[in-house]
Amino acid sequence: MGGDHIAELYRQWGPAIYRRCLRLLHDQEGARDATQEVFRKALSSPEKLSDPDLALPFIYRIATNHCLNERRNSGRRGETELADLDMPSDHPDFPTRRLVQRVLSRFDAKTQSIAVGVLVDGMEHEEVADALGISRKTVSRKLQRFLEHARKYLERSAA
Amino acid sequence: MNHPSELKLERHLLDPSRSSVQSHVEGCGDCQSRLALMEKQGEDFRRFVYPATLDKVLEPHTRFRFTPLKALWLAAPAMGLAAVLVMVTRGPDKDYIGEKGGFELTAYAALPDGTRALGNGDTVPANASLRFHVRTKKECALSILSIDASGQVSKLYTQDVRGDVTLSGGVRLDGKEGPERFFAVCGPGYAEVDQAARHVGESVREMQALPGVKAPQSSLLIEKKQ
Repeated sequence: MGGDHIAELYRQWGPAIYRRCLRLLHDQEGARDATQEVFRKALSSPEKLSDPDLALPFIYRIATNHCLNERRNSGRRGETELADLDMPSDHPDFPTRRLVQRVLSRFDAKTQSIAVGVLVDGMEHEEVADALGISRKTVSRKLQRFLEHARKYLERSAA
Repeated sequence: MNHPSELKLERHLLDPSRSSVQSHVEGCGDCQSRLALMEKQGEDFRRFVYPATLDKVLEPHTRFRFTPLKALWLAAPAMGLAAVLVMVTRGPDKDYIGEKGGFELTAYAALPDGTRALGNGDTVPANASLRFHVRTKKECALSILSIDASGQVSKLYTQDVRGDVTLSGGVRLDGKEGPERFFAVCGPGYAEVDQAARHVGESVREMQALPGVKAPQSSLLIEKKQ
């Protein structure tokens, strides 16, 4: 693939990647670095970037995984807390969303992506399944397990 | 009310004619605000992130790619020397405020007739690409930002520098006509610089220094023309 074609794809899909990274990282410089990393990863499947129907869920998945990983790593380094995910306080699911923030880092990468997709981004199970390239059944199962473990974790914390 | 997910709003931005949430968005102020924010973030990407990161994205795929920004990069050291010579022979003009503390800012524009260092008040195409060079005698926590005619502040760089430094990446102007002033400040940290910048408002043509900032600073005004 030529440099001009790559530059054009970056101009086309970069804004969506940057927005996703800003939303998950809440840091302009972090989002800038993450955007180029995510796009470089996405270039491993150029055919998906050239298909508008496939590209958006594809880059959403890579960006979500990459940025949640960045958050985990920075949390380990003591740089940021996970509690700054963008969650509107007037949403009816707000208590559940707060639960997500507190326990998210205790789960594996795929479960984190599912929980963020459903409980933070407000996506339907089918939409998350499509974006992450997994079955709807897997989304439901992992989300259920996440919520059960999260509640137990909070009960233990409260005790 | 269930609002569309972020992914659905992304699809909406991509192609409103095929959007499944068009009717919801039309009647929902919250979603319109979210879309406005998303559009602004997209514009920030095009103006600041894209030009600053494109070379790194292309690095594994091309051995060498000659672009206006790359031309600026290659020309910067020579142009920096030329700019210094001009200052030495001509002396600073009445708007020049960069000498205090031995701190200077120079901007280079990729123009149709080649790369050139910009003087205060120079006119450039509204979508030109710029690159920046700073000179500081002491180690410096550098902040560079721009303010446009509406008073909008855009963060461009924060990094530690010393000596003669051509900053990586670049900036593509937003394509809108009008004045834009770049401020470079050495020392106090971006938060303080940003706060001072918000007091400049629409006075970018007149305000040559950020008010209340007690640190070496330099500014450059350009006029963007279509």
